[in-house]
Amino acid sequence: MVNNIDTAIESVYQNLSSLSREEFLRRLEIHKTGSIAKMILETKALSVGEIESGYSHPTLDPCDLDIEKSGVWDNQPNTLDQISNKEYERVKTFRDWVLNFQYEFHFELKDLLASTIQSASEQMENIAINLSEIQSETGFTSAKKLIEKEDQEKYYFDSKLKCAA
Amino acid sequence: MSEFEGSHGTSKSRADKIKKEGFTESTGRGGSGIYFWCHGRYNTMLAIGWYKFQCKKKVFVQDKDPLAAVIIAKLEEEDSKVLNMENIKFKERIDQLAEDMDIDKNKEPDIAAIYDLFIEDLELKSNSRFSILLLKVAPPPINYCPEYSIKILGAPLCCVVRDQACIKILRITEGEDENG
Repeated sequence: MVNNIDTAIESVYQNLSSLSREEFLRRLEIHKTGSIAKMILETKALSVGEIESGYSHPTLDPCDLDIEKSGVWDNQPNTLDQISNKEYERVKTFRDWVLNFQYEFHFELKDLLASTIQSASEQMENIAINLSEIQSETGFTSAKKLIEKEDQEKYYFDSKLKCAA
Repeated sequence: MSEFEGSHGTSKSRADKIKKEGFTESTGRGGSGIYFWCHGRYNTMLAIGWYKFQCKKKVFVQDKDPLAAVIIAKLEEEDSKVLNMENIKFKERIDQLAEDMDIDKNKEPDIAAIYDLFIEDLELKSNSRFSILLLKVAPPPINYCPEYSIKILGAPLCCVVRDQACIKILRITEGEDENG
């Protein structure tokens, strides 16, 4: 029985801190798969501070994650224990990032996406009109050729400048 | 003696089974233990939010009766068998240990393992297993539990019960579907 929890905590701390780092890491490795460790990770108990402060910065860009390779989305997020620790960490960080994004922008996201798509469409339309005008004016059939021509002209102009100097 | 009132969100089928046979340790979110929200008047809302979140993940889709059920229970245990993981002294010692052993404090699997190791040693020292762990956890995502303001209330408290003898079911409320 623990009669005085604070005394017991102090005693356990003293014992563990007296271990060599190697011995401590050896013991730690065993506990990475312990039921309490799993519970702490699954309940996000270590992330509640970040959630409370309303800010959780991403440490992984979504494009870095090979979702298909990890296979984690084939099932549900609660099957994370089926994958390796490294993948677990990567997927969990990604999931946290997505959830945080969802928390922050849940209501604005739809409008934001709609306006972004509309703006992108308008820009693409303008580019298409410009290209079409350029093609009719220059007779060039592709933007690549137009750039090549501009490069040639620039090179010719630079050479003239050097000669003049 | 420590006493808590907690809520557990699940499907009606599972609640019926729990009523007849009691809880099993695999009932919870992860790890071993039975999970109860212990956050006062928000208990039921958190349990329903959690149920809806699980519905989204299709957890109850194969249940005979997938409608919501909220189990309200009294959790009772001797003080010495309850570990408050929010205890400042406890957290400070975990923090100090991570520092002493040069563990990356941002690496959650390592920090979680320190907790696991520390608690096991505490149990060995006292020759007794903690029946109830009390800790703050992430609430269900806001769209599943919009009533709960994490900005005002902070993260909700949860009891992880590791000995079902501590649980006394007070009542079961049933009936809502995942949209209800």
